[in-house]
Amino acid sequence: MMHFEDNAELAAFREDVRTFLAERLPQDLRRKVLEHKRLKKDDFLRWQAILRDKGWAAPNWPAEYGGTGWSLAQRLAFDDECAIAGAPETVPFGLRMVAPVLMKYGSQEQKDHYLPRILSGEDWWCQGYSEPGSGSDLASLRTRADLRDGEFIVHGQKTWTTYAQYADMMFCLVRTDSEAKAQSGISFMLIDMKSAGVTVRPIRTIDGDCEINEVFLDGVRVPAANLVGEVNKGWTCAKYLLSHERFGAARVGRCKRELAFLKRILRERVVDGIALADQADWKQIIARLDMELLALESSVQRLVRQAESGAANGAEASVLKLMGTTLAQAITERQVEAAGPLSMEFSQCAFDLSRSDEQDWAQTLAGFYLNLRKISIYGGSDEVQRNIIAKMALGL
Amino acid sequence: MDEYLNEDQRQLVDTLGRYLEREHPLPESGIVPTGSQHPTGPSAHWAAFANFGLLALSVDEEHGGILDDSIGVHAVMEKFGRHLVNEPYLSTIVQGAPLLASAASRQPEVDVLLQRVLDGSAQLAMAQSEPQTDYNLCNVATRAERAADGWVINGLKVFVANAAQAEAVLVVARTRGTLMDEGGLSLFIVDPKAQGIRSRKYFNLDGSSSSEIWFDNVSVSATSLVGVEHQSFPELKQACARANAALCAEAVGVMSAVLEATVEYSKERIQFGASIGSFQVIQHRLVDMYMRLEKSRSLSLRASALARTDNFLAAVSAAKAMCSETAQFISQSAIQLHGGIGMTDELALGKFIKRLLVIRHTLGDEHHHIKQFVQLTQPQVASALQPH
Repeated sequence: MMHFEDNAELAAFREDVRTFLAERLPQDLRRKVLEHKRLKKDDFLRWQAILRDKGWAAPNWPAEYGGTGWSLAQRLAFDDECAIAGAPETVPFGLRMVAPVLMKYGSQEQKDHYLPRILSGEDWWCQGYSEPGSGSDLASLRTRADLRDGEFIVHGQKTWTTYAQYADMMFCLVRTDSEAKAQSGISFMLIDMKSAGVTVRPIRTIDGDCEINEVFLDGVRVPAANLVGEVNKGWTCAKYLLSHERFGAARVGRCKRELAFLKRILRERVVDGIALADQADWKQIIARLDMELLALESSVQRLVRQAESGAANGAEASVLKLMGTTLAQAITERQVEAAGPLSMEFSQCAFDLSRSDEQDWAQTLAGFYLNLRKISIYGGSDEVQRNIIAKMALGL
Repeated sequence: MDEYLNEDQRQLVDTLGRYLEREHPLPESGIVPTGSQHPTGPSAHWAAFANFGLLALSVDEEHGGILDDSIGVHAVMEKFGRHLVNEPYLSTIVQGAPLLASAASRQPEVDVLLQRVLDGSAQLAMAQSEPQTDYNLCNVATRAERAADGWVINGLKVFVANAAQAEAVLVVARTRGTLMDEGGLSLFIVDPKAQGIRSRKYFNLDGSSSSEIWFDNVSVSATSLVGVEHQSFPELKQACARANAALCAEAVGVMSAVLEATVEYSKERIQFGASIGSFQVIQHRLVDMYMRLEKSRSLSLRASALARTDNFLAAVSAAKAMCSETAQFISQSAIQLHGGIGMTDELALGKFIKRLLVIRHTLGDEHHHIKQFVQLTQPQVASALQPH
C-alpha cells in the first residue's frame, strides 16, 4: 500500500537506487540529460548495458524473464530517482512496449528469441502505429498485409516513427482484412527493418532534431511466424500495450528534475540586483508549480492505492498522462521565460556536449521546450485522453 | 477515499451516510429567508452524531475520545460536504476539542467542558478573527488583562461561526506584546452570556450563522485560561491547520456532488436532438472539472494524512489554495453547463456553490495560502545579496 510519504522500506530502496546512480551513471550522460542535450543511440545502449549488469534494465518485467520482481511502488520510485539523477530513459519500444505484448500474446518461439535480445539491447525496436492518414484515429490505418504462400506481403507507410533510423525491428499494426470494420481487421506483426522494401526517411522537427521518421513499406515480405497473437486480433494487443504501465504515464520524476532546473535558472539569473528566485512574481509561479507537482505525485499514489483495492475506473492512465503532460509543458514554458533573452541564441552545436560555454544551458532551453510539445500529441493526444476520461470516468 | 479507511472508519462513514440520506434533506431554498431564527443549541442531528461516535474523532482515548484521527475526520467532512451539513463540527470538534484536550489533564475545569463537548451537550465557537486580522492569526488586538480573581477582556471579534448556539466561545486574546507578536497570545473559555458581551448575529451566504462579538470589560475566572499564558499561538496555528484540512475535505465532498449533478444533467438535457453530454465541447469541460477535482482530492487527502508530520502546514496550504481555486472553476463551470436553470434557486446547485464560497473565505483563501506556502518552502537565495 502506498502512502503519501515513503515508509522505511521504500525509503531504503530509494537510497539503494540513489547510491547506484551516484556510482554508475556516467557523468557525460547525466550532463546531457540535465542540460537538455541530445542523446545518441550509443548513449542509450551504454546506459542500458549498465542497468542490465545490475539486473535493473527491465523493472516492469516479471522475474522469470529477467525482470526485477519489484512492487509497483518500487518501480515508480526507481523511475523517479533515475529521472531526477539525470539518467537517460531507457528506450521504451522494446522494454516497455513490445515486450509485455510478447509475454502476453507471443508464441514460445517469439518469447525465446526476442525477449533476451530486448533485454541485452541487441535489437533496437521502433513502433509502427501512426500513418499519414491515421493519427488519433489509429484504427483507420491502411497499411496492408496480405498472406501469400506462408508469408505476409506488406504495403503502406508509417510515420512519426521515433528512432526508426536506429531500429533493427519494428512492431507494427497492419490491416489483414479490408472487409472487416475498423479495429477488427487489424493484426500486430514484427518486421525486420533490414527487409527489402523498408525505407526510412528522417523528419526534421521544429527543435532541429531528427528523432522521428517516415517508414515506407513497399512489398516487404514478413514471415507468418512474425504475427503476434491471432490474425485480425491485433487491436487487442495494441490496447493491452496501452494499458500496461498506466501509472508511469505521469512521469513525476521528469517534472521534478525540470522544476529543479527551473529553480536553478531562477537562482542564477539576477535582474535589477535581485535573483529571480527572490522576486515576488516568480515566488508565486514556483509555489504554484510546486503545488501542481505535489498534486501530480499524490494523485499517482492515490490512484495506485485505489487500483490495488480494486476500485479502478479505467481512466487512470489517461488522467495521469494528461496531468503529467500539462505540468511538464508548463515547466518547460517557464524555463524559457526564466532564461529570458539568453534563450534566443540558437546553434545545433549547443545540443552536443562538446561545448563547455557557461551560458550553454540556456541555449538548449527553447529547443527542449519545443521538443516537449510532442508529449501532448503522442501516445493519445490530450484531446483523445479527454475523450477517454469522459467515457471511462464520467460515463459519457 | 474508501481505500484509506480501516474497518471502523468505514462503518462509521457508512452509518453517517445512511443517516444523512434519510434524515438530512437539502434545504428547500438556498436563500436564507428574512426573519430566520438562529439556532440556540445542539440540534437533533448533533445527538445522532454523538451516538455514531463522530464527536470522539479528534481527541485520543486518554482525554475521553476514541482516537485523534485526521483520516476519520476527513471522511466525515467529505460526507458533510456532499450533504451540506451545517453543524458546528469544525469549531467544536476539529478545532475546539483538541485545544481543550491539550490542557485538560492539568486543568479540571477545562476537562469538564471537554467532556460536555464529547458527549454532545456543549458546542464551541472559535473567536480568532478581528477586523484587521484577515487570515493572519497572530494579528490580534483584543486584550486580556490580569485582574484580582481572573482576567478582564476587551476587544472585538468577527466571523465567529456558530456563536449563537455555542455554550462556550474560545477567545484568542493578547496577554503580552503588540499587534503581530506571536509570543503573547492566550486562549480563554468565555461564556457568551457573560456580562459585558454584546453581539450581532447574522447569516452567511450558505445559511450558516456567525456573530460579531464585542467584549467590554468582560470578567472571566482564573481557571478560564486554557493552557499556558502567552503560549497559545503554536496550538492555535495547528488547530487552524487541522480546520483547513477538514475544510478541504468538505470542499471535495461539495465539489463531487456538483460535478456528479452536472454530469447527470448533461446526459438528460437534449438540445439539437442529442444529449448535450454527447458533445465534445461539453465533455471536455466536464473532464477539466474532473481533473481539477482529482488534484484537489489528492492534495486534501495528502494534507490529512500528513497531520502528524513536519510537512503538515505546507501540505494544508497547498491543499487549501488548490481547493479554493478549483471550487471557483467547478462552480462557474457547473452553472455554465446547466445554462439558464443553473441560475435559479430551484436547483441544489446554488446551495453547494455558496457553501464553496464560504469555505474558500474561511481561514484563508488561495492568495493567503500561496503566500504561506512560499514562506514555508522557499528559502531566500543568498546570491541575491551579492552585488553583480
